[in-house]
Amino acid sequence: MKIKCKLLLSLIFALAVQLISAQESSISGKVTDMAGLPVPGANVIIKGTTISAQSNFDGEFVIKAKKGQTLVISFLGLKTIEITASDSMVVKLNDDASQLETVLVMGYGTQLKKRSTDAVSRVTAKDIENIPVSNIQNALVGKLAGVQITQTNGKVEGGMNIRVRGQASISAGTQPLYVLDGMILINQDESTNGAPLNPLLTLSPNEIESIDVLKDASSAAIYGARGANGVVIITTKKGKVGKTTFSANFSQGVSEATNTREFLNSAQYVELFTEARLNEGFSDPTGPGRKFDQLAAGKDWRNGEVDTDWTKQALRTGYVTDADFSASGGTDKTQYYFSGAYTKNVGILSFNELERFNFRNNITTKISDRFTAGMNMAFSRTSILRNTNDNSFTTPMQAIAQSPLSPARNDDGTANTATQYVNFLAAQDNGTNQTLIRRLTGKFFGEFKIIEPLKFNSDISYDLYAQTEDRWFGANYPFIATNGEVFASSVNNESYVISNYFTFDKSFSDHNLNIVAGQEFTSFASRFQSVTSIFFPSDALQTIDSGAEVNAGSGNETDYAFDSLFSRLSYSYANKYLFKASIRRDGSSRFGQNNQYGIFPAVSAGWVISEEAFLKDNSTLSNLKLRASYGQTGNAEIGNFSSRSLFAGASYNLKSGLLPSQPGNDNLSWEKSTQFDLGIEFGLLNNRISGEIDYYNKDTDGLLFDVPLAISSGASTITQNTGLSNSRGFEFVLNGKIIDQEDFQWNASLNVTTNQSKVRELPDNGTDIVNTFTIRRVGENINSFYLVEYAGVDPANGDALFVRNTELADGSLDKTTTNDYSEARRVVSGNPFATLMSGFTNTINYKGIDFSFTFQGEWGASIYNSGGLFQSANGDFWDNQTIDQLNRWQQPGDITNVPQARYLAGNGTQASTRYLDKSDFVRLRNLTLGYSLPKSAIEKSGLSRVRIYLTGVNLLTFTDYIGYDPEARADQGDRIGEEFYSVPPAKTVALGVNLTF
Amino acid sequence: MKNIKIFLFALLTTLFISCESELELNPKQSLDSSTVLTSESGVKQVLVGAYANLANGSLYGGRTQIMADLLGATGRSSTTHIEWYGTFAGFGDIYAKNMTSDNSFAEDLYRESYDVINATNIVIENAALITNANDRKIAVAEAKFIQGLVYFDLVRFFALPFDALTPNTQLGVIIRPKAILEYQGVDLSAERNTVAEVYIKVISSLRDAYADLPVSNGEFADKYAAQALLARVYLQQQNYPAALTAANDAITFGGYSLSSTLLSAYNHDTKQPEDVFSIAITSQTGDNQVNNSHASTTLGGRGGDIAIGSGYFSRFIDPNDQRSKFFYENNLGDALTLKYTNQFADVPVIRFAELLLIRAEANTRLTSTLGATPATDINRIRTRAGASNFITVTLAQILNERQLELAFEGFWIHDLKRNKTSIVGQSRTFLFTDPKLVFPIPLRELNTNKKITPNPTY
Repeated sequence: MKIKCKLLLSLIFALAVQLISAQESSISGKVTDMAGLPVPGANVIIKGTTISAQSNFDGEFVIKAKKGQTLVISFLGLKTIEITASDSMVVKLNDDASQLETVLVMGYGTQLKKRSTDAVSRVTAKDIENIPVSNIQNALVGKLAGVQITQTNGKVEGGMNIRVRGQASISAGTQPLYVLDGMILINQDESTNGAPLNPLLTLSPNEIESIDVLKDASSAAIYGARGANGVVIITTKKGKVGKTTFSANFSQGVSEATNTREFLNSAQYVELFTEARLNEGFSDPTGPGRKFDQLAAGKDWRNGEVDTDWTKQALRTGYVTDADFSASGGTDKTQYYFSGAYTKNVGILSFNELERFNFRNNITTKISDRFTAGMNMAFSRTSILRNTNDNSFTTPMQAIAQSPLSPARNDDGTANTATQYVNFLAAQDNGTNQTLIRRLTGKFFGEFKIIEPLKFNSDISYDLYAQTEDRWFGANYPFIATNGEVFASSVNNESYVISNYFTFDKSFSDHNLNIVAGQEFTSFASRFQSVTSIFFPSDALQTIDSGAEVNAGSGNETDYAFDSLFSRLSYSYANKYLFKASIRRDGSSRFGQNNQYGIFPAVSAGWVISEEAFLKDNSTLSNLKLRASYGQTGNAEIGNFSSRSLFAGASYNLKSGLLPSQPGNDNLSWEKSTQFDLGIEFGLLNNRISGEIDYYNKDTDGLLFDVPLAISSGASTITQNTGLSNSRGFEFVLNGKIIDQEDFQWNASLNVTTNQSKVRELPDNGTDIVNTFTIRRVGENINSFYLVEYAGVDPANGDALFVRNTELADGSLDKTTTNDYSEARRVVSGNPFATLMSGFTNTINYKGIDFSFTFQGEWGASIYNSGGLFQSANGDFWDNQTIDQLNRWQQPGDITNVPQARYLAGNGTQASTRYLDKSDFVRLRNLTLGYSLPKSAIEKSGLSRVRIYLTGVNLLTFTDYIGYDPEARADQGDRIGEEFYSVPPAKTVALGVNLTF
Repeated sequence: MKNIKIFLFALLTTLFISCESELELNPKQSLDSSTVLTSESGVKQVLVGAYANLANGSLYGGRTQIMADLLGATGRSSTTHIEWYGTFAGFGDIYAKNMTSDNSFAEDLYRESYDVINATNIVIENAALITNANDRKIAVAEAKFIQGLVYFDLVRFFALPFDALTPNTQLGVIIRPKAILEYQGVDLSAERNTVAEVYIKVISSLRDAYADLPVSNGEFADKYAAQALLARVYLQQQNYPAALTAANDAITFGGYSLSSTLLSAYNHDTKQPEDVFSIAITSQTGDNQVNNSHASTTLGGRGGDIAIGSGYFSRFIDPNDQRSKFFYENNLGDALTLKYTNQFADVPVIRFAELLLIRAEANTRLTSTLGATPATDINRIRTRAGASNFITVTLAQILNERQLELAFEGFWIHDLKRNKTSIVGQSRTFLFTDPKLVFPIPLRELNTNKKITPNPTY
């Protein structure tokens, strides 16, 4: 049965290939803009059919049409026209202000924006090209309403967190589904060092034509059980009819940290810690041979001989190099696109680098008038030099804990190992951590026009994510007692998707009907293996073979499969009344045996009021559309075998054993989101001003929880679908053409997003789920900080004070303070996620000069510095302290927020709001200034375009946040909204050149 | 027409052939519970799993021992037997005796202990699957030994101390009488049993284990390991006659002897004659946390989170006592014990020296000489350490000898409590009944167990 099933699916494809059909007569013509310049790449379609052609480089097209048929001719940014076919016709296209002719990419098809009833955010190549960041997600920040994109921290390979319309899920996946040219991409983090590694950093931004983010149920329900977190549809560039166009881009940039924190210098360190020790009756550390002498490792700290700035050891100037090249073109039968790209990013964090090669080849060919086939193939190689995760002594940022009295290096250049904590330089001098990702993504596709309005598509796509990690720890690496250790791992994640679907697309008089129905099978398999060997004869030998003992190894596999049927119907009448319905049935190996299949329906409708007689041709209110949608999507990111009651291996003294590893739940299923969306699209003054307003309300039921069990039961958690969350908010987009002249354009786009994600129901009758610093509580945010409230310092004695917050008889909270931490109760004290986000982009073109910038802002979030009890602890232990700790209480009457310095006394170092801070910020996210050389100057060289540009990322940040940066969060473990020795992001300035010929 | 046929064929295939059988996938690293507990080998594997759990770093891989020394330390540089230099805030709080209910190390000890208890309950309840009667008896006895060990440490850490002069009705820890396999829709809340009840459970488990275990059982628990642990339990209960009988029985019939030198008493990875019960650590299995906290970075540790304090050195009366020199210095000049210098060495839980100390103490308290005179027992230990011998010993000398011999091995706080000794700490003095010398019932348990009572002051 297994083999038969796949065989049949492939057979469908093979059969379709054999079919050939007859020739028809053809019409030729030329498309120009209003100035008479040729428009290459314009789409020419015979109305009511799917027969189409594209204009070539000289604007010329040939289409298999008969005289008298109506041709629909469109080009992005120009107004679509309908015209009767005639021989040697010349078609002039007007500028289109409204973007209504934009074609949105949805699952299994496309749709004109003017007929769309979906809430979709879109960016195109020009919005994201040449931004000097090493992953595509980072280039999107601030440009998509309703989509919050946060980088974990400033490591070049760091994780990305994307929330489409807030976070609905608590324990299941929260990341959107990524679909590249119709293939679902592997987005599984395979890092083994505890810090995330973004699997999508293998994509090169230069290959991307557009990105559409499906946000509402109407658009995402076609992805059924995998659509609830939103869907990011990435479309790569394709060749266009015309002679080959070459384009090349080179840029080189430098990076610095956006911000650093100031720590005590040597003199301040001596002052604070002497005081802290003496206040608690400990010995004076300034005495000969005592602590300060030990820390100074032979240097004379008394004369200020050593004053190490450890931040400067950890952070450095980074470099970014980008070079890419593409060639595209085609005949009316075959179009091709080839590209290659090289990126090197030397991170701002010591020992952190990324180098990547990408190659892509997209080819489509018309085998006959009715049969089109093609292949998209891409391969990449990404090499990354990594550090350990934020919660390890050997990660560079933990160097800020070291005393400024300790030299970083000895006089002979070796790392000073007599530091308070392990010196990360000893790790860097004696170790490497290299990750290599080889990725291959390919799609083989065919489209067959069966009978006029009906076509059949069959796609087979394959994604291979092959990653190796090689870690070498030399004999002198900290904590290595085995004369060297080598770790090597390899993981191969493979996914294939087979999709077959029919499309019926017909227009008759004012009716436009589009129906899609099909089937899809997705299979994913992952295979991991690793081995460690120890005792090496030489530091020069760094592979497993040279170790005397292979002391650890691991090998495991996991897999999942989805089996799906889907259908969608879109109907519009006179471009005025719009209707759409879709349904998908998904079965998955992940769901419990009692719940293996789910059905996900959605409906939507729209009314284009401006097409009604009373508004038609009204140039003041040039466009007005109301739309609404309602539907269900699922979140199947629940773990591959979470429903099963399991035992796992637990060996003792080289004898095999078993232990219970997971409590079972046969009812386990996907999380079910029901979303309502109401939208208004409008255009004013001939669409010179346009915009969209959306309101959404998303209830997610059957929320997956690792419900905590009494730990005295022998198990810690059980996975259950219990709980309800609600996410709602507004999205507001306003686009304006501030200046719109022939050689001077100024466009501005503002987006504002609000989101409130609340917990509505929790397991065990709404029992709070409390984690180290956070809580999930009914009526509160999806995650809230839950901390004892810090109340400053008792001016009388320097004790740290906390608000009791115990419940009084009348139900109110006791707001008196205490110096006894255990008397204070925790309270909800902040939200780790922003509730208001905004982006503001301006693009100005004046003659050959282009200038654009994007501001991005986020409000409403807080960050908890869980390293605060070490870094800002009024001299509680030998860790260097932030400069603000000098404001400690010293004598009765001192008014300050920093308690008296007391060595090892825990005076205010407990988890409290003392270490929580609001992280609102506004940032100049990108800025680009370009100059295109006049055509006259370059004509002779054979170039058609030369543009020199200066571009930057994160150039300015406005924030009152006290920590490193609002985008520097802990990358190890389940640390929601925490900073823990986290790397700030980079700010980068790059100079580059684009060449087209 | 040809096209139509193909179209129909394709349509039918698409809509009616789906790949449902492809959804039947199974995990490749785990087994369904239903298949494990149907075979003899499954039950036996779970017993090995319980030992593996004991070897967890949070239990007898070492943190159980470490925490007893941290909690018992005065923390005053003039008197403390260990200095805490580490960065784990949870350990720092135990050392300073200002724990909060979210102390992660207390929580780990609690959780892992109950994981062990559940695994052993599974073994006991499914033992009928073991066909050979003798094998079955031994498997149950081993499970009971493990439960005795774990409950004993739970009640010592998480409850106010046992006092022979009181009925010990203060709350102890939950006794879980049955294995739990079904978690969905079941209320697993339970109140704590009293200290007296937990001790009854510990003693009955260990007596059963003693009755059924073989004299020799490799690195797994054997008959005299159960007897030795019973001696330790009776001593903690101040039940000196029972402690004496048990210790004497284990000394007489257990076949143990002291290693010839101090160095050879520690850091080995196979069972030595001095080892009554140890946790086996290999480079593949187990997690040696005593090494981690005590050893320098070059010997596999964290650099000396715990160093020997002046309060240990000041207890020696004989400068030739090798135990006073049984240390090395790390690069900061801190004195680190030589007991834990190999990260893959077994971690001792019961050494023969402890049995001699128990017999000597019990004989002294009871003014008897069962087996040997107290001085003879003590002098065996002192001779091995190169220290001068006693002609007669006092109780105080024996208790001091215990601290010299068993320091850094997880005895400190428990000995202080049973001897009702106060700790003169950095900030204040802690009576042996001070609630701050008791671990908090973990917040994680309080949040999920509706019936449980927290410990005072947390």
